[in-house]
Amino acid sequence: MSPFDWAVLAAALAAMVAYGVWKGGRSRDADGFLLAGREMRWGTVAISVMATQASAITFLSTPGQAYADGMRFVQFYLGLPIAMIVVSAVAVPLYHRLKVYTAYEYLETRFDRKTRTLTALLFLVQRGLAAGLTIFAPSLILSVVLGWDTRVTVLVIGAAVVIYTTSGGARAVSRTQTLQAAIILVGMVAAFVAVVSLLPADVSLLDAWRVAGKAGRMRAIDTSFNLTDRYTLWSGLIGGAFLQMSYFGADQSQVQRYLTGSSVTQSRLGLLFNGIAKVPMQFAILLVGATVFGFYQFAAPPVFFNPAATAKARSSVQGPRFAAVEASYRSAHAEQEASARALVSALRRRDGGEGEAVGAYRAASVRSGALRAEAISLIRSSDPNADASDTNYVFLSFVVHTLPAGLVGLVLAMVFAASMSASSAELSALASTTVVDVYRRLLRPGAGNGHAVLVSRIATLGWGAAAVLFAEYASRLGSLIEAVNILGSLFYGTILGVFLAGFCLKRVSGTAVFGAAIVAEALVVACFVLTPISFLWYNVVGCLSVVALAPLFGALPRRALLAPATGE
Amino acid sequence: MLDLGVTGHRPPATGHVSPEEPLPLGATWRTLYLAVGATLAAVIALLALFTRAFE
Repeated sequence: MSPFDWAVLAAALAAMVAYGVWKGGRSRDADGFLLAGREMRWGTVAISVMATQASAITFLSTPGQAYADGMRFVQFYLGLPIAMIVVSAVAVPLYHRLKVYTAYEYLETRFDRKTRTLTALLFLVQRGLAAGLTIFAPSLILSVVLGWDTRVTVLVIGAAVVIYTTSGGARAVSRTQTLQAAIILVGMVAAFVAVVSLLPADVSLLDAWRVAGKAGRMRAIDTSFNLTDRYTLWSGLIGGAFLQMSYFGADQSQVQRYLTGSSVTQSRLGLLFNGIAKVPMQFAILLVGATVFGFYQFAAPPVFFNPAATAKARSSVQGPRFAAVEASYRSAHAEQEASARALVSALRRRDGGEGEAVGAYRAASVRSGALRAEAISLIRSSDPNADASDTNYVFLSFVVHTLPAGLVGLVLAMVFAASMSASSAELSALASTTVVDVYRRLLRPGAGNGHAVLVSRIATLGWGAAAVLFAEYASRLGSLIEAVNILGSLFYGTILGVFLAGFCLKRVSGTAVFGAAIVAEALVVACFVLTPISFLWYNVVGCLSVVALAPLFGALPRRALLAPATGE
Repeated sequence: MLDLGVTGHRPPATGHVSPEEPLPLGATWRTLYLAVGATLAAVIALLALFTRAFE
């Protein structure tokens, strides 16, 4: 990295922290600290919910996803507009009318204390771990590609977030997210313009996209119905809608963002704007990745984008063989590049030679793909714990090795901004749930308003320290990342079912919902352990099971329902 | 502002939502929800066209 890149990165970091401290002010009451005084307009609410959902991994991994697997990942978000409509129509007016601070408060007014406490604790465990990963994941990628010390990166991100979130609470989070969103937008646009400008002079952007299309990277919609396929139109629309309803309707990190709206109208408009803008935004990020793929059809990529894994393979006993595979891969890619140029010419001529050119290009791709697979196999044999996927490293590797000085710093600032915006919202939500649902509900019900703000600040600091500590620990437990992500998807459907039962089933008691939630969770776990069903469908199973079983449990005699729970 | 001291356990609120400001262009919530749904349908159609154009 050049000194200019370091200057850009340092200036952006300092600006974000200073802006957060300045705009956050010094809130002296709980409304101000936990919900930004409920004074935000819809534009700020919209940016805030979008910035909270889009962490650094969104901007690092999504382009890599398009590079490796094509544009079909966009289908994951197709259920989001549906979820925005449902949450706006059902949850927003209810939360505003009850003037709750957290989503879980509603569950006590509707059901009972045990249901509120259970869901609040589930959120604290799940989101507390996720906050650590939000900081750790980009730190790991930065350490692999740039050689930075993971602990230092984790500490820098964690400290920066804690400073302004502890100082200004929810207001600082929302205001800073607007600046962070601007940095992210500028960074992504700059990266896209850069990759387009780096294409060979005789290859246009449309040419690059056409070649990517022939390699299957421009397929955005898959209408097949297959429960085991992770990204299809149907899994995105149905499973995705349930997942997003749970995330936006029952996860405090999002509920807190739109409760900062000054009215039902402002909160709703913010969510509906998200419903319109989110899919195109994800499409644009994926398109950057597909364009990077097009770029690498005319320039040699590394055989594997994770430089640390590659270096390890080179220095292992497999080193000589790995070097030979790398050399063969370079030759194979030169052939692939020639076939890609022939394909571009054929596509321009439109004289019927297109089919043959496509066949030659695909055959060349298969040959280089086989060599890449062999290289990955050698990497795995030199280090059995090595991750066989390099999707997370594609975009940053491209940025570091091809973009000019200044732009590298800007893209890295974008990564830091995304990580900070998501983790600050998580810390603020964790603090509000800790204070409102645990401290003030179970430990100190009579404490005053000023005391609550002080405890909120301490809770923010505590969760920030916990997130940093967990991120440090996670660096030694690579597989934990996947485990925690799966854990989160296992619970979302059931939690949504509890909330939907509260919203829609007027006569169902808390005990019936509690019993239904336990059975639903067992069904979800059974799906996970015993079937190959894709994780998006767990949300449907969990939610519908709670909504279907709760009335049945409600119709049972009270003693029959309580017997299993009390072990009788 | 609500005192946190009473947030622990409140009875369900029976009051109505506070009066809301008018929506942009005189729209109703129903039309806005329909607009979001129609936008989603249009986006899916565009994505399908995009897929066909580059296959």
